[in-house]
Amino acid sequence: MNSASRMPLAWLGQRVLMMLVTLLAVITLTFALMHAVPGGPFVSEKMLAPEIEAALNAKFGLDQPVWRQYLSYLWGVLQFDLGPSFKYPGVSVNSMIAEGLAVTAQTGLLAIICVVALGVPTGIVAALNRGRWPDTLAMFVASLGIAVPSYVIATVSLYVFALRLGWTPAFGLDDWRGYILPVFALSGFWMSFVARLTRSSLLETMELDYIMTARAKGLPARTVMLRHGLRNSMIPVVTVLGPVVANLLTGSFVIEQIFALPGIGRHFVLSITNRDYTAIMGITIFYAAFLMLMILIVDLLYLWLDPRISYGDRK
Amino acid sequence: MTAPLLSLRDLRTEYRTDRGTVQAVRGVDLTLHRGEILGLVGESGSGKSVTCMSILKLLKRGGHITSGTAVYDGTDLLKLSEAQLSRVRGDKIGVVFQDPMSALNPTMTVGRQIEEVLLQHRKISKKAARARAIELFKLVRIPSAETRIDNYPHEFSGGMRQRVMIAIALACDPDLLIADEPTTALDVTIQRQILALLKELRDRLGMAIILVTHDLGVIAETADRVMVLYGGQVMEQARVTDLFEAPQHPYTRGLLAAIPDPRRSDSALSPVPGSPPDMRAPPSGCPFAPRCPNAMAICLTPPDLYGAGDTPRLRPAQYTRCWLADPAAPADLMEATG
Repeated sequence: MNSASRMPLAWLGQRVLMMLVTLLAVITLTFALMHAVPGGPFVSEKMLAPEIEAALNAKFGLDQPVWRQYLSYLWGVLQFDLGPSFKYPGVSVNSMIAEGLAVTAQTGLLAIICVVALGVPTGIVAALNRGRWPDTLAMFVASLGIAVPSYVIATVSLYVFALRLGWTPAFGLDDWRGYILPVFALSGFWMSFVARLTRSSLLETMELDYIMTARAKGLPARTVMLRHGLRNSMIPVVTVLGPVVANLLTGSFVIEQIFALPGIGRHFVLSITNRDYTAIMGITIFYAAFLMLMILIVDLLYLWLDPRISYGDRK
Repeated sequence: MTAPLLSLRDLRTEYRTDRGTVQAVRGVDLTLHRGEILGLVGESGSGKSVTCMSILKLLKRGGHITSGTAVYDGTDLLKLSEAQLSRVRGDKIGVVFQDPMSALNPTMTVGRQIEEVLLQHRKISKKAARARAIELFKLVRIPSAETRIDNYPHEFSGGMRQRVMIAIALACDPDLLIADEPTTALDVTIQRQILALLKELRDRLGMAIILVTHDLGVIAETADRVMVLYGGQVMEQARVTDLFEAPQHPYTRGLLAAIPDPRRSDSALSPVPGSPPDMRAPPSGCPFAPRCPNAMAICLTPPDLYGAGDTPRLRPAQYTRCWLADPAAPADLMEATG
């Protein structure tokens, strides 16, 4: 039985439809919230002349009835047009996201690679050495990684490695060394989390009956763990990796702020203080869509990991 | 008499847990001849499974063998390193576990699970391993072997999965098969098929089998010889017919009396009263004494295992660990309880 027969097209279609319905709810909610918030994008301490404010409102369609604004926004989103930024004249939200994402994706992708390529093996090594020093050491470091907030990791490492030792630049990504600290700060928590999860899940799997069968077959301990234990213990890890990927690729405001990276996370938070309605909505919708896509990918990965899983009703 | 295939001497295994040390096996002696089916019978916690899993040191976390020898074909398995032992496991000695639902890896095709034993112990190609796996499927009578070999465990019924387990255990033509409650998790009709298969395979391939069960019916049907375990010790051992015809130990008699008789609809169930001892602090004397209908003051002292040489009324190859079989026990006492 192959993977395709366990994932009928009807199921996939239904799934995508559900995603679109969810997305519509997200759009509607953010739109409603934006319009429920008192004040407007052009209200500021410096009082604008009423004529100018009226002209701005007219330009961005804010003088129209709310339902009409909603429909025209929805129509735009359907065409993948998230509208113009209210704050930066001539800049579209699409281009804001594209620019921010270009920066965030570089550090984010590296952080994801760190989480998978360092977190998972650390967990495996710890499990293989349960109770011995590599396990104790790895879990001590991982506990620190979980307990210490990323901005502390970021500022302390920035102080030590960039300012004191001068090994890395303090900001920017012009040099490959510029990536080290932001990637480390971004991935520290999730790397630690995944290492601990891998270890505990693997150790739990190693108590199952079929592991005893594998031992009774005369397979070496390492083979037993890697061939029989690992795959089955990866399900919870894959489950968290979906949202982690979405999280890391959509950036972290704090880290981007500390390292002065013009990423999407920074854009998002700035757009809130700027009351840049379309930017807030656009980035929220983008994040929601991305998260749903990652969850769909996780569900598809389950098919590959566990042959017992099948979607839709199969005869 | 030829040398036995396996001989356990004074095997002791304990489990160290957070709540104390469980003395699971307390000095078991066992002799198994080539081609013989030996039944190990007892209640849960009697030490029957731990005894046979100790032979290959296949213990769960916390399990330790504290003393004893397990001489298999001239080698003491308990002295081997883990690497040396893994060359015996799956090759010279195969194991079938209780629950075929959980004993197979759900993410691997059954074919691969058989092939990997062959590839581990034999220098053969993947193609040859696959051919042998199909041959084994046919041996354990799984229909459409050629296509079923590529299925996953969840695509099989319980009985078929247990056949897969047996195929895995037999892959390398072992001289000994350890079957730990192989039919307990199965329907009664499937149980009979699996037992018949085991017996038939023994007749065809000539391997010895240690059959662990709590079901005396399974023993009656399948085994040549039987050992009754209780509290981590052997209470009685005998040839199967002798055990059923002339049980000596009060515990054995209790077990036999507890088998319901379907021909008598009025008969109420007669279980052995009481519950097994706490093996963290086993009784100092005979472990069965607290539940024994014949218990005497002397039962607080551990009895020896008596054989036919000590007590004439025991059959050949019958042994019992009970003061009633002591040569010094008054004859009328034995009459009264027999």
